[in-house]
Amino acid sequence: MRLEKCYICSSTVYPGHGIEFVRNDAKVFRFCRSKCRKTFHMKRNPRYLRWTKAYRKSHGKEMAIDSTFEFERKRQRIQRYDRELVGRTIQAIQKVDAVRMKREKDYYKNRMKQANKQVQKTAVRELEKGISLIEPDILRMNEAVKARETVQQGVAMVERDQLSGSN
Amino acid sequence: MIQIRTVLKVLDNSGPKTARCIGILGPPKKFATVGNKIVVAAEGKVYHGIVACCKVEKKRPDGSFVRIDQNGVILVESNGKPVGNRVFGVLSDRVKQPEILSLGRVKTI
Repeated sequence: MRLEKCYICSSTVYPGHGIEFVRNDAKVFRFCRSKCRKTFHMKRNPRYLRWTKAYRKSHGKEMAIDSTFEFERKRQRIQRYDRELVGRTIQAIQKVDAVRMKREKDYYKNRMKQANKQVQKTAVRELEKGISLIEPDILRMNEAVKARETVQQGVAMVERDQLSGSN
Repeated sequence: MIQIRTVLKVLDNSGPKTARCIGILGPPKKFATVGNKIVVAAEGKVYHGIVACCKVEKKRPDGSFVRIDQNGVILVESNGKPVGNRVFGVLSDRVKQPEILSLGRVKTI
């Protein structure tokens, strides 16, 4: 039993799920659900569909090249069954998965670092464009601040007078 | 599901490109599927044929389905010998005859 990847969205196709389509040139396509199968027959390219892994990897949204992917490559060599080898392989799978998860997380963090600058730029541009919407509020705020300052100055003056008066 | 009047694509190099099913061999049934023997008419002659692939989804033991893109037949004499000597395209392993399986690349369907 082998867990295959859906041709369109690259999700895992578990046994009993999906349809396997054999084209006339004997090329086999596996689909995880009818959504993917219908997309395929509509002749859409998964690289241009935003919800597929193929799109995300080809547009740099997700880590595409890494040494941890090498472990999942299908090998043409047939391995003789060895219980210890299977045990070691299962442990290796868990370790490789953990490493891959961490690397994917770091990749995402790195990508989002650039996003912050973009967010700031957009915010400044939006502020410049829409300043007229909040101008009256700003003016009112400024006046309130000025009024508060005047009051504070007045209070300070009164306190000074009182101090000088008491001397 | 191949029935009488179905036009199938001939997958070997025996000559005709298409063949029309005119009967299903074996115990009486309405439909033939991959591996069944049928009677076909191709280019004015009557042959037997073995259905090599069938468009209708076939359920696999693990519950998933396989679908092939064409209805294909391999022309065969009445004694079971294949008329051509090469088979192209998709040859399913549900075809049980070894003299036919040896002619092409077999796919596990």
